[in-house]
Amino acid sequence: MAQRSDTLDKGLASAGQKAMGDRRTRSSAGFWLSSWRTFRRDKLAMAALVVALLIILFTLAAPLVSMVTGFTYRENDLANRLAPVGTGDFILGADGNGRDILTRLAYGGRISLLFAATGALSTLVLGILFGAISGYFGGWVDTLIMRVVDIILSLPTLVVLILISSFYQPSVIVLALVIGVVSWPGVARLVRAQVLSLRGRDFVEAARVIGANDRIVILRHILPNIVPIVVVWLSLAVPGYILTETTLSYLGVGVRTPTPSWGNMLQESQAVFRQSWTVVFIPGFMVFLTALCMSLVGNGIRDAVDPRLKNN
Amino acid sequence: MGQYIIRRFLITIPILFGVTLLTYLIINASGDPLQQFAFNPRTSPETIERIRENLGLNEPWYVRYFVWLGNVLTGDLGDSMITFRPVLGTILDAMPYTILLSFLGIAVSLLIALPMGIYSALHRNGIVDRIFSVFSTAGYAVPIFWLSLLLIIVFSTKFREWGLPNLPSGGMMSNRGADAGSLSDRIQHLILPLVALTLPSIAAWSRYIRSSMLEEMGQDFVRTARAKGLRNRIVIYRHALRNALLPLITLVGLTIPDIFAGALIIETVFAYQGMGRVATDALFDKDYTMIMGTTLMYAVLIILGNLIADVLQAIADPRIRYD
Repeated sequence: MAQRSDTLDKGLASAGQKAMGDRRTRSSAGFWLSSWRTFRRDKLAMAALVVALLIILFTLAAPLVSMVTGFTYRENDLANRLAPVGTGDFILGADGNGRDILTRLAYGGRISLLFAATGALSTLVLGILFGAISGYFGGWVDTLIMRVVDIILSLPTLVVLILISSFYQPSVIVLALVIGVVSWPGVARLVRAQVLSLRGRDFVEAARVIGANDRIVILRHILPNIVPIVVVWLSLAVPGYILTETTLSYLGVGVRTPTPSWGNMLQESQAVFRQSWTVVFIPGFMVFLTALCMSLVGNGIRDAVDPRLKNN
Repeated sequence: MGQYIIRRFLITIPILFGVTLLTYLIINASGDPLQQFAFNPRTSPETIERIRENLGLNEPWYVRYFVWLGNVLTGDLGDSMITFRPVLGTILDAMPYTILLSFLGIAVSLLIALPMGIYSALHRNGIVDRIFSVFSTAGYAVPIFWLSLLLIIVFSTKFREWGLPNLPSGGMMSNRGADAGSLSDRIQHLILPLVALTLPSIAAWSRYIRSSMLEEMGQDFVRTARAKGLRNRIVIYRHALRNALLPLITLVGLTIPDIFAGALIIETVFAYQGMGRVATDALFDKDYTMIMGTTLMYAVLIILGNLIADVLQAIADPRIRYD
């Protein structure tokens, strides 16, 4: 019976959507395939995707990089302090403690990217959870969640992050999860608005008439329809989280030494910026390049998934 | 309208209450503020108890919170636990500098982003639009303090090495020299921080104005205006632009927290003695009362910014209902 009503739901849902002339809202294999085809035509986004993947590969291959350079990320040799780019075995030079920058860049990237991914995902999970509950159930639950959203949006996020980080000294992963806790309201508002509009659609009504309970309506009818908007949000948000890691580490409350991250490499470089500009330039440029490529990929995904959002 | 403003204002009270309670909880759940003395052989347990007594820390946290809240309502934010200066005084001394930096930042960003956005919209997909598009994507991806460091390296350190006119690398004015503290000296010290602060908002806002403008240019009333035979200039500036600017008010309001966060980073890089410095110093010194004071002040500024944006929006756009 459940099986049958599900198939029926799907039929009704797609019929309802066709009637509304809104073919592309439901996520299915065909939807993603056609989005990918659109994305592939976007040369800039494809180029950015390749560079982003190369950067990810570079960080994943950190042990390999270490083998090639012949340095570990914590091996310091003060005799080679601030060795310029290309001296001896230091392909990208050495930092203020005489450590090989290239090796640290690879290991640091792992932490930075892991942090960004964890931060974005935890924001997403909390945002979808509270946004969906708020939009679907309405009433006092909605009011309560939206008041909490108002409070969190009024917090100076950076100050709170520094506060938590300096008082509790959390690990990288925990700090990234905390970022999720202070930044879910944006996603929650997005999801809530989407759920509110979906809740009134014919196909949801039809599923209810057939006897679908809340769980089935939410999981099978509402959530699949918010996937596109959430994917777009995610792809545009990840670069922002990379910048958050660098900012926190720069202020000395993010990733702590000797574990390298792009952020704390920049922080350490500040002490020697008058003597060597490359020590400052290289880690920052990696952050910039990664964030830039990921934003370009994000723009491409947005245009492919939802052409209506395209800003021209 | 007046009723709308009052209602909008009343909502902010529970929000401020929530913000302070949350901050208080985070600080006090971290343990005993006098823990740092526990293993110090020079501080006897009696001394610690006396400090505890003096700071009023022997009460449970919720009693202390309401004592603190009561004092705040009478305008007393307490004294710093490190410098023993009044929290409110310290913040008010530093705030004008941050407000100056932030508001100059918003003004400069708007002055540059507006023409960029309008030009891009009117010459969509032209060469200039494409350049602006690359610039704004890049502006979004630049770590603000990295940009600051590069600006210092180029315009301060390298320019001095090359014997070119150079800009100061930090501080709010020169310590010595004939024009130390003069207006032009202060302006010179503001240039690099402003460039670093405004770049991300210029990047974001110019794109926003562009798409908002494009949307309005496609509206029926614009076509009507053209059909009436109005001059292009009037159609663009009087019909399209006015409507395109409305959502910008809310956007600027929503960006205020980012601007303060940016100012905090920039104050750290450029050794600029604003509220950001007071806040970060308090956080690293674990100065409880000062942290509460600065967080409250930031929250007030953020809420006030959004309130002003909402009210301006309601005044500017008669289509908005006041309920």
